[in-house]
Amino acid sequence: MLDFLVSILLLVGSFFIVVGAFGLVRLPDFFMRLHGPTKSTTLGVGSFLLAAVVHAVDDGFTLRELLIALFLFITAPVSAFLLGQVGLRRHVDSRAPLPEDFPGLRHEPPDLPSRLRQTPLPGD
Amino acid sequence: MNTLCPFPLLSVTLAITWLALEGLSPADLVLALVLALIIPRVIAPLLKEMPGIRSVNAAARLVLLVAWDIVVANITVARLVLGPISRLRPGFVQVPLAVTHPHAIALFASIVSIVPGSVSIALTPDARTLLLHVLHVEDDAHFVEMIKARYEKPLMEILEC
Repeated sequence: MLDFLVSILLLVGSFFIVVGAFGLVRLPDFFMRLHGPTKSTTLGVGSFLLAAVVHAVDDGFTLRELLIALFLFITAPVSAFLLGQVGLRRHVDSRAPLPEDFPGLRHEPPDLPSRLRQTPLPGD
Repeated sequence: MNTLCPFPLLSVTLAITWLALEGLSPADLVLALVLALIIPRVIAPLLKEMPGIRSVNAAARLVLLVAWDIVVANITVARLVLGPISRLRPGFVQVPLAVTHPHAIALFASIVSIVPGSVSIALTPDARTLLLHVLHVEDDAHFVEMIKARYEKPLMEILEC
């Protein structure tokens, strides 16, 4: 019965991680791709950790899995934020119009070789 | 005691965290003690203006709400990612902030990033507006209202700021 529950949790986790990876390939621009790793993987890894907790339930409860989940929830938004900042400042291609009036951001695209500024999108 | 250990709660949390991750061998006990004494000292400049927690109950409720919303958001995002991409309407949304404390803003930005199909991208220099990228948004104003009521209001109830 316990094994059954562990298997279900592992399958659910795998599903969401695959979806996250799938999104990374399928979504058309940089900012949209940010959503894959921050969402789907948190629930994916969360399910894995829950599976580990259930699997080890006979050996007593450990804080370790909870802590790993906590670290993940702390670090994922920070890295997404930093990546987003880079995208914004480099004026990468985006389907959503970039907010040119947003204060604190440089308005003119930085003087970069165009190959750095515009990553070719799959399907283009 | 106060000079040796300026943030006792943080020190205890760090020690427990280390022991929970590494086990209870004598070496780990020593290391936990060392870390509990050193780390608060290093990050002290960030901690000086720590907001107090007003209501543990409300905090627990927010944690549960966020946990539930993570599940819902993942299913929503999975559907969007697997569905027809051309139907997605991504957008940048500016959220005027009511919270002013740096830690509260950081918490709000993080919650919004892991929960409802949006990622925090930038903050104005005056820290009054948060810029989000939303994977699929139909009504900007409605979306802003929703996340403010759902996450920012409880945060303001929890933290003294």
